[in-house]
Amino acid sequence: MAEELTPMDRSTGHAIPLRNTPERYGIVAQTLHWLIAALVTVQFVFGVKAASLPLSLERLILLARHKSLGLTLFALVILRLAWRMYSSPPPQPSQAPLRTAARLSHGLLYALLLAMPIVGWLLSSASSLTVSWFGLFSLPNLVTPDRRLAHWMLLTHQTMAWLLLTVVVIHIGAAFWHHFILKDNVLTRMLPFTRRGRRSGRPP
Amino acid sequence: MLAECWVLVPQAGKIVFTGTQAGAPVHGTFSDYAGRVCIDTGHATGSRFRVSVRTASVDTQLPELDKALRGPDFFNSARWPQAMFDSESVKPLGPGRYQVTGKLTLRDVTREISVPIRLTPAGGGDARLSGQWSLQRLDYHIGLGQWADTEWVGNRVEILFSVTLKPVAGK
Repeated sequence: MAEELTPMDRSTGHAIPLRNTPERYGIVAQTLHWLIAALVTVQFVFGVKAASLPLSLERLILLARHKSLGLTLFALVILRLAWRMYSSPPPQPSQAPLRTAARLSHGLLYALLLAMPIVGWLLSSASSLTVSWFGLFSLPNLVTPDRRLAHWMLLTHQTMAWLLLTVVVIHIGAAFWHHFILKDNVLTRMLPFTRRGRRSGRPP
Repeated sequence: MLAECWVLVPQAGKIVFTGTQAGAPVHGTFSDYAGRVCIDTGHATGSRFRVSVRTASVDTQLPELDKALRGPDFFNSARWPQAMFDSESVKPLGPGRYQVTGKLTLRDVTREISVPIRLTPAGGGDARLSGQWSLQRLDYHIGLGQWADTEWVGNRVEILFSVTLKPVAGK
């Protein structure tokens, strides 16, 4: 395990290892987790704001940023899943109902994070408003302009957004519940600047 | 040699424009246009192009955008229903190729433009008139107020046309 630790980690025991360990998430998984969390928040705010605006330059700019960030988010989620396969995350709760709930909510989070950008891409294509990534390159249109499809994709994208918000609230609630009620390390293992193994048992 | 004259066949062809929004292309078409074209290669003054496009016929496949384009900030179709092109200068460039110089009127702005065109046989005596050029939309006051921004809505607009001409007698 020594090769997974940064030099500072060995000297102080505070810094985070690059890779996941059985006790906590490593720096890569943590960075991706919090970056994705921040981007999802921004995306939600931009999306809700844009939906409330009439056709205007302000909405055009909001949606352009929403699309660029959405594409970025999609790439980050894929990177996160790839990293998860490369470096196993700390184990999920051992009790059966908790384990199922965790698997279900995490699965739903990943599914929504992957599906929403694709639905958004379909929505943009069907609306004949090509997706550009910060004006640097454009994505090909997935479909030819189609008003009916655009209508359904918008409805799907918005429904997914509210569903995602619901699952995120459950996710945050579960993290606090683990921390304050169950008093385990489920929350702290995803936090930087905390002693590893805090609240939980000693490493094996 | 007499001038050869044609009229534009309605609907048989397309006039497409491509602008940009947030760095990505956005296309639209005009389906309602009319015009008369005479080319007299033997005389310097016999040629004439008169083409009009009904700006309200714009179609971007996005009803909300079409409505905005017809509105006061863009074409203002209620006040200026037609875009007009009028030329009496047609210079041959080669077989079936001409340089047409004339006045383009969009909204309240008239400017001289010069467009290279191709004229190709389309069967049954018909001909196909095609070409492309570009304009700066702000030169014609297209995009007022917030839409004058060129960072998010590109100033340059490409125009591509390919329309069918039917021969008519005389000038």
